[in-house]
Amino acid sequence: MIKCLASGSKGNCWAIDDGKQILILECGIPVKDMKIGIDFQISRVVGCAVTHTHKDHAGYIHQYEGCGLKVWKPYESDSTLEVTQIGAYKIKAFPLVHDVPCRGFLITHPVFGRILYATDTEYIKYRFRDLDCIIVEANYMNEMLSDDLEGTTKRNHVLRGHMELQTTRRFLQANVTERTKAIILAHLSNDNADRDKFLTELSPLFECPIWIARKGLRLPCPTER
Amino acid sequence: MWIKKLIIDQFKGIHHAEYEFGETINQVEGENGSGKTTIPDAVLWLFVDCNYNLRFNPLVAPLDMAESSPSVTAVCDIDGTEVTITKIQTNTRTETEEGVKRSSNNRYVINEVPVTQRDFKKKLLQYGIDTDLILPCVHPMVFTSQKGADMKKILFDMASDKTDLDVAKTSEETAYVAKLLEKYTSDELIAKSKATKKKSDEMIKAIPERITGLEQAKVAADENPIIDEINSVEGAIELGEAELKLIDEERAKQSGELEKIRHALFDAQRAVVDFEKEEELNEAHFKRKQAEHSLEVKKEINDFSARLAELHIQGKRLEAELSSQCAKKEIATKQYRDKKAEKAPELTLPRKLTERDMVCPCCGQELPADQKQKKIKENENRIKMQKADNEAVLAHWKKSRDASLKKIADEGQAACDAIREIERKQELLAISIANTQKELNLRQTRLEKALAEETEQYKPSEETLKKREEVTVAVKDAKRQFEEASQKYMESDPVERKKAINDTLRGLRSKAQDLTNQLAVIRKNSDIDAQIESLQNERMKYEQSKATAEKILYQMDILSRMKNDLLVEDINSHFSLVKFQLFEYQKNGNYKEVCVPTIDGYRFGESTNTGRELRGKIDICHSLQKFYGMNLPILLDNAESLNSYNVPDVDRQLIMMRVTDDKELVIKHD
Repeated sequence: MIKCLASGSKGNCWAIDDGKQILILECGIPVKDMKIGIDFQISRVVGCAVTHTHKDHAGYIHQYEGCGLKVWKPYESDSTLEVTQIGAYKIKAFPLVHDVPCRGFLITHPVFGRILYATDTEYIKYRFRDLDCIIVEANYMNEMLSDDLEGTTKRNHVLRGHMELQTTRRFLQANVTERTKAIILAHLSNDNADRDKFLTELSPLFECPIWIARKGLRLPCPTER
Repeated sequence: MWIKKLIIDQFKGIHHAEYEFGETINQVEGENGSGKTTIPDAVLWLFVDCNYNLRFNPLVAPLDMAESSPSVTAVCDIDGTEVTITKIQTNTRTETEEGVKRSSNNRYVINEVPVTQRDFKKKLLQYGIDTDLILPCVHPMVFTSQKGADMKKILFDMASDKTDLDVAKTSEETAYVAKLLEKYTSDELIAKSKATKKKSDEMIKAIPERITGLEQAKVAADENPIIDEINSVEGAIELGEAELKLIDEERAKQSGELEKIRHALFDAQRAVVDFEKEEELNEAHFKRKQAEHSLEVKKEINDFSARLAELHIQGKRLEAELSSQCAKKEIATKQYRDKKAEKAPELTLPRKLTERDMVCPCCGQELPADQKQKKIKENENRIKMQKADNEAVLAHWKKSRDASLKKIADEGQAACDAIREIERKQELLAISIANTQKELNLRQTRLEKALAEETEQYKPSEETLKKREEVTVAVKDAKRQFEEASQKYMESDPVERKKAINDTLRGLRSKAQDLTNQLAVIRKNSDIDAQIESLQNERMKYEQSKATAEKILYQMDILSRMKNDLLVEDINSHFSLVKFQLFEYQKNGNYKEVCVPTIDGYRFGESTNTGRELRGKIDICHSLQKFYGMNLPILLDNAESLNSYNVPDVDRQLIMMRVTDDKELVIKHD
């Protein structure tokens, strides 16, 4: 089960649950809300992995660590490729393009297969084989950007640190295979994104279903039945 | 119930007044001081003993009268029946030294029948008027002037009774507590969960410090190089021990060989001893053989000597016998002679009778003839018998002497025969003695010769001498060999070599011990790691029990909101215009219980205007009456704040006092 506990600039948190062990991605919401999201089964949590230091991803790390959870922070390392094993989940971290050091995750699980998690990046320079599930950022649409903010820091942050829908589309077209069973579009901007438009744009291009990440989204894992 | 007529006597500023009302809306109009407020005061005093300002047991007696009996009579229509209710107060006023003393006493009359206060309340209840609930139902200011909590208490009583379990069962979100609520009450669950959470928090709080303590106790070192070193040292120890073992085996072998040589020496020595023993036996045998001859002669000499002695003894015996027989012969000869010379025995005859015999011995007279004759005859017989006896004795003696003679002669003859026999024997014995002596002498000579021969010495044989030489040489050889082997054995003692190896081993072992100790210290790290892991597991256990408690509290919170939503809905369904806000979210997201009446979305006391609030208050009275199932007039003073077109539509009697410039009090109704 892939659960979206929160996605977006207000906070990000995901739970990947194989029925025995839960892997938490991002510590961007209070532990209290994370616990609600995993039905308070804290003892099943084997660890957390965080992509970068921004508040909406790492803002509550101290609370998570305060709960005795181990938090993996590969962005602290200078090495470009970090690998770890958290419970049954093997995670490879790869660099993304953001205004702070940021990592994407390729998660391999004996049952779920290969899950890609990449958000807060201008683009992804890698290609991945045999992905079963892709959770990827689709932050904004160029045509929806308001001209009022032109030249402001916020606009620059959006442009430089996040994926435009077409970038996302190109990435998906390059990486989605027959094996891919689910695509989740994550971290949609509040102002510059439109769920329906995104879906209308991308759905015809891929055979597998596409979801928009939102709090409470629950998907059976790719190979789960 | 609606009041058709109100009769007031000696009440406040009014001496006597009678007011008639309509069934629905009544506007009581007049200038200030015209007695408008006295009307609601009188109604409230009649039913609940307070005035419109909510003062209980108010002073109602006119101030200008020393003694008065204020009374209020309401002629009411209760479901079509006219009921007259009267309350009369008797006031007495006595002036004492301490001042003016007042006392009052209330009396009640219903339909002209006086009743006690208790029966008054009871009777009213029968008419559907609960005096305990009247106030908020008739006085629009009462309900909202209470504290929020008191309002809420009344409002919550209006809600239908739904248990937490019933509500919890209706939603997935509260499914977990729904199960628990079958066993526990909400309060129990919340208290229990809070306690669990607190306890878990305390337990969790202590763990990180313990983990830090354990982390500090760890030693930064890698155990692998030490394990390698230990392995190499242990290998060296093994080699050293193997060498020692080899040396010991070699030594044991040498010792075995030496032992063999020692045995050979013993064998040779034993051979010498055996040989000498045999030689001794040989010599003894020789000597015994040498002595054997003389011994034989000696034995013969002894035999002959013994025989000679025996013969001499025989000779002596014979001599003794001879002398005895000779003596016997002499005795017999003498006896014979004696016997022959023996004389026959002398035989006597009885005496012949004399004259004295013929005289009586007693008287001395001659005996008669016949006696004399008799006596003579007897004497003659006696002599005759004696003669026969004498002859017999003599015959016997002759016979006996002859027999004795014969016997003695025989004995003498036997002795003579014996003597002749002995003498013959003596002759033979003499010959024997002579022969024996001769033999003895011969043996003596032989013995002398044998003894002379015995002085000859034992001489071992040539072969023996050769053998002796052999065994002696063998012993000498064995001894020499043993000495050489001993010398060699002593010289080849590996004690020094062993000492050196043992020293090395000791060093190695102590090093191994040191390394093992070091390893133990490092390995303690893994023990510590295990302890830390177990602490982390323990912590996770408490985190889980905390989370479970939080889950219960979270769901109880949801349940509380669900319940509150239902409650609010339920309560507000009783009101037409007013909606009570019973819960609100605080800035921190928590949920807080409040009690704020609102009308048209405006909160009372904050954002409403007076008219709107009055509408709301009338609605509250009306709604409460409906809820309690009562039909009472609603009394509103200061009603001029409300336009007449704004008066809410209520199906109760409404008596509204409004200030106008009318000098006289006017009651307007349909």
